[in-house]
Amino acid sequence: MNTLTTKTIRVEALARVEGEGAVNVKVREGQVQEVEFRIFEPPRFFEAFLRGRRAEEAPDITSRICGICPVAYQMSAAQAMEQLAGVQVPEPIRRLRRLLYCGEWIESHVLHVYFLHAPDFLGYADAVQMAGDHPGIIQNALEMKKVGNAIVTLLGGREVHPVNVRLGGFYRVPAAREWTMLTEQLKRARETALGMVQWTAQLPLPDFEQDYEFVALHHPHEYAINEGRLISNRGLDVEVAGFDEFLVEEHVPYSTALQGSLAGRANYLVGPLARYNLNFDQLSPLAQEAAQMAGINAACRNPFQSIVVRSIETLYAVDEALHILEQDEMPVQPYASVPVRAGAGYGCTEAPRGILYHRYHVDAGGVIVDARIVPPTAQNQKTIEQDLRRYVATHAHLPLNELTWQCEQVVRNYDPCISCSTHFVRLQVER
Amino acid sequence: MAAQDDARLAHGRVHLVVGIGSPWRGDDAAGLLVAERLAAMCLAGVEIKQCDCLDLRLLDLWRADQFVILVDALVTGAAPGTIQRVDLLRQPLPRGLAASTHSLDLATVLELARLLKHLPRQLLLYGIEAGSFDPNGTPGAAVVSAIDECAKMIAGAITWPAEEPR
Repeated sequence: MNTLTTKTIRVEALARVEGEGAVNVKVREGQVQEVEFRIFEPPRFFEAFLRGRRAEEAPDITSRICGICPVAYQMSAAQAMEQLAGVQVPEPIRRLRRLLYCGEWIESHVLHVYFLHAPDFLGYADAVQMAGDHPGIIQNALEMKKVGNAIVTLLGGREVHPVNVRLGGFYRVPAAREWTMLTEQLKRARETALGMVQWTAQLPLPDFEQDYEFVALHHPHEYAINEGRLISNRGLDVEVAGFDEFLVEEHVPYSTALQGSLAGRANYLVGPLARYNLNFDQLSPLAQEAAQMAGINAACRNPFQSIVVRSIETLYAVDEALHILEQDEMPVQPYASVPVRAGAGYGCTEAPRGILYHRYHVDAGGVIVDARIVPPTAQNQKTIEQDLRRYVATHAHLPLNELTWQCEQVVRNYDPCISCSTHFVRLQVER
Repeated sequence: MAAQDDARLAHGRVHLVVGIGSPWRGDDAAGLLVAERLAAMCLAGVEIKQCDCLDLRLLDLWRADQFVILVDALVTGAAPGTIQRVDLLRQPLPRGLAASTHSLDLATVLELARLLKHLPRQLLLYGIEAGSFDPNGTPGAAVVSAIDECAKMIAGAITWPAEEPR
């Protein structure tokens, strides 16, 4: 008689993530046998769309990959084309790009913290149910979100899928008077963001310390957002153009997104937790102080605490946006000229969910002949599976419903953007 | 009952009409096109807005002290082009699965507005039954006629010349 007991944890459609994915975990006699973070959203072939298009179109075309982080796509694409042309944008434009990116971080982090992640720890099915008991919290979230929207609208031309970014800078730079209201909004948001850090820190977060290889951008003078070298806590230290040599992408049969890992190493983690661990010292004093008050150390290896880290980064983004506005130096020209040049261009910036890598080959006529786009969620897939494997291994005794619910939470720690990650899959046809 | 409700809209008390939809998805453009028709009529004291998204930004479109009409494409199984009028403060819509913040259904946004005490003083939905949401498609003939009819219905309700309802 076969006395082996098998437990299958199956989440057919993950809720409160961006896009369509699922989880399958098989446990036999208390041992995890299989773990699959399945992404079944159809591939979107953006790299193929880019072939034959002009280099200057890349920021607008790629921004359509995601409605949550279009700025990240615009910035990585623009940076790649500028790197190819040997252009470094003037400092005032560089700062305004950083400001725009702060707006996107605020929008994205606030959505995830309050609407997608927090309900997990308070036992609600969703944020609407949570709003019934905590209307003030959701009201704060909406106010914070508005501030992010205001920045993106002012600099990007509209809240979603901004249209004002171009190679070398912006089509138009707002006049000084247009910033005044934004500064006041940001000052109020800074107080709310401080409360956000305190509120998330007191949520009942599971203890689940893990040992990760964190990968993030690092800049010598600032908390890296839109430029820097790629570093890790295990010795990776390369310029963006060198990342191609380390990045390995693999097609697994159950996912329409390529899974990333580091050549000769293993899976790695990108996103807020990686940035926080690698660049904590460069957070603003206010953000560092808030982290300490919240009891979150400079080294934070519990993915469930990513909700607090996102809140700290939200506070930082608000603080940094104010800092940029205080500098009060607007560019004389809205953009620098970016000449056409044949060759390969590399760009990488810190999307809200982690590093977003672009590589383009452009011909002498300025036409894209090849593109590679590696979004953060694709890079995190293997680490999500590793977390699921380890989490289930120590919680296999839980009733199936409870364990299934907790597996969903393990995935949501990463704020996965499945729609972003499924824009390409290699098709192999055998005849 | 409908006439009495419409009478309440008279005397410049309707502040806002919001057309909701996507211009790129066939009949889903119905709400946007009704808003365009109404804007062309230059109705006094009426603000017209278009909204090509269904997410939390919808909450920013109205104030709690306003009288609001939403116009959107509907799928109820009726014939394409059928116009339905729903008093959303009396007859809540069923909530769908709100799995992502990329998009929310109208009922979810309205439920959030209710919980946050941000519902307007009056909230009517004029829905036009859609037949097709083909990408890059244009609205079908039945929906185009309904768009014109719906705009006239709303304009008539807004400019109702009756006395205050008793």
